[in-house]
Amino acid sequence: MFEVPHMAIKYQKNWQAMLLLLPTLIACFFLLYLPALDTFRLSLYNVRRGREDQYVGLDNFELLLSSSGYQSSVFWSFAFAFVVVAGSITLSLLIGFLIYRASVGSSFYLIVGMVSYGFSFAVAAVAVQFILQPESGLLHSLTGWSFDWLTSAPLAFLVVCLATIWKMIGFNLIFIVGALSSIPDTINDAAKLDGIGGFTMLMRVYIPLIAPTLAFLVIMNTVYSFFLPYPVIDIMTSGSPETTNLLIYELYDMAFERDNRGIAAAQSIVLFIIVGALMVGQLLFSERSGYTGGA
Amino acid sequence: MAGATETDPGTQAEAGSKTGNLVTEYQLAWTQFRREWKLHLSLIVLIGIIVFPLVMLLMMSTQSIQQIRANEFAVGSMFVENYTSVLYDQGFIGYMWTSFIMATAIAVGKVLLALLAAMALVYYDFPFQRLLLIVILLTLLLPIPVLIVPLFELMSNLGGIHPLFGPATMFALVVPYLASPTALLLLYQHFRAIPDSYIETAQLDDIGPMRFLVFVLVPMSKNMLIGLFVISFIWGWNQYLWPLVVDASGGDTVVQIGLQGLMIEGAGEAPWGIITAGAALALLPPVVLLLMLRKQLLTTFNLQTK
Repeated sequence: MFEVPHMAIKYQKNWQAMLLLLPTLIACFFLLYLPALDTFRLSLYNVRRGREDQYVGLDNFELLLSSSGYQSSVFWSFAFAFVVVAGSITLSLLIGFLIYRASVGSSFYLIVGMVSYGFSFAVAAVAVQFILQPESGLLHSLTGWSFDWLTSAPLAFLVVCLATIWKMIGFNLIFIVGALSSIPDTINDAAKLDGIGGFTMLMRVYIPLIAPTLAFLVIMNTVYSFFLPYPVIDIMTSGSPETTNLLIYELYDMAFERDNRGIAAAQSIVLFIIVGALMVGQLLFSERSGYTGGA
Repeated sequence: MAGATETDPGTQAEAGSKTGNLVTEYQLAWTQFRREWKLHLSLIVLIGIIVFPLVMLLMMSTQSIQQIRANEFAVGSMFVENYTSVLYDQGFIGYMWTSFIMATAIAVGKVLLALLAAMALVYYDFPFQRLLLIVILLTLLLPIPVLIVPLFELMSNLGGIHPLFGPATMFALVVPYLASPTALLLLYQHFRAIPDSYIETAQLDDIGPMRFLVFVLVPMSKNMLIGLFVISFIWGWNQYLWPLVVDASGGDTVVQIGLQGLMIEGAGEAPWGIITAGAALALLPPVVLLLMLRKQLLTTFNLQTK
């Protein structure tokens, strides 16, 4: 992947190459790597506004890991990620496969289906809230069913998942349809000659064939579901009931509402470790299953 | 049309005229559509569910409170009132402008930085080339949400987070997004897929690196660059958490945060006409861009999936 291509002539002036790379390197170091290091430093301090930073060692981490509120936030973030990744990839796979099988109108379906790639999590939250609002929502006025999810912990969790899944389908659909359309026709023809049914084809032929793309999507969706649903929580539930108090919401709340930047930095580290570990785990798993061959 | 579908497509094609071919094409599509009607029905239902909330949202944004309560499934009469109210009374005109500047600056910056870096990594020969590529790609593991605390401190110290919303705050909003490993990786792969013969011709003519970049690389990567611009613009326009952190001021924030303001303000009686108008304004620019430049966007993504 990182092999330098075989080329007859290349520019040789090192200073020119450095000049071209300089803006990217400055941005990487000063805005990403240094703040990342600073997060580690801050996580060892008690940082409150208007006071001198005070070194506290690993106290912040100890406090976090023993707090039952934080433990529940960790649990629900994992549950959230699991439901969102499974839900959005399954739905996108189903829709993507149907789009792929349609011999007419497939580009139309794709364009309409991928629209959620364009709008934000905040818009998704507003739209879902608008439809499901217990008293004044569309669902209530159409069916009379009072779907009171704002006070029910499991329902609130499901509604927040639903908004996130809806928003993620567009992104997944683009990649799944892209991967399916790059499958050579000969494989389709062979499968058709064997007279295999649609669903069996999906499970036995197509899913293994696009496994590298699916592995990529599982990783990206996991990362996204830990980092990006902040607007959904902020707009829909503000973190209560506690089933919707996800780690990323808890982090912002700790840093800027409860003004405890040291603990917030420790939370950043925990979040970073969780997501990093999941990423490595998924990469190893997909590699061992022999799926990431062509990626 | 019903009669036409009965005739044999072959005889129509033999007529040879352009209209004849067109009719045959439609006929063929229609026959295929009818043959796979179950598949199309499922697709229409599933994709209908996906776009239904958006259609409702756009429709409600034109209705009065009474119409919304009565669940009229129709374009309402309050289009001008709702949008004027959200743009001027709720300050969305300023938010839209801030979002537009922010998203454009992020998109231009990301594409430009990635273009220069990819050129250095593919068309130059220098020590530690791979190491530098890996150093840049590893930033994929450092998304802004985990860095908000130190980034906030950094920007406060630089004076970027300022009570008066101005160029300094815009700087604070934009710069953390500029390093883009995804854009770099896509361009890197794209450059390496350009056949050597093109490059050799260019270099044999003894072209300087700047002219090579502007007159050879950019024209050859036009679709790719447009696609990357669209992706980055959408990403920038939809940012929420970092603008919320930066916005310590109450000045013109971005439109996503303006939308949150509407939701909080309207929590009691929920003026859904105005909220949905705000949501429509927040979603239209990136969605329209996505629909208009979908071809470039899809080619950009496809390269990555292969």
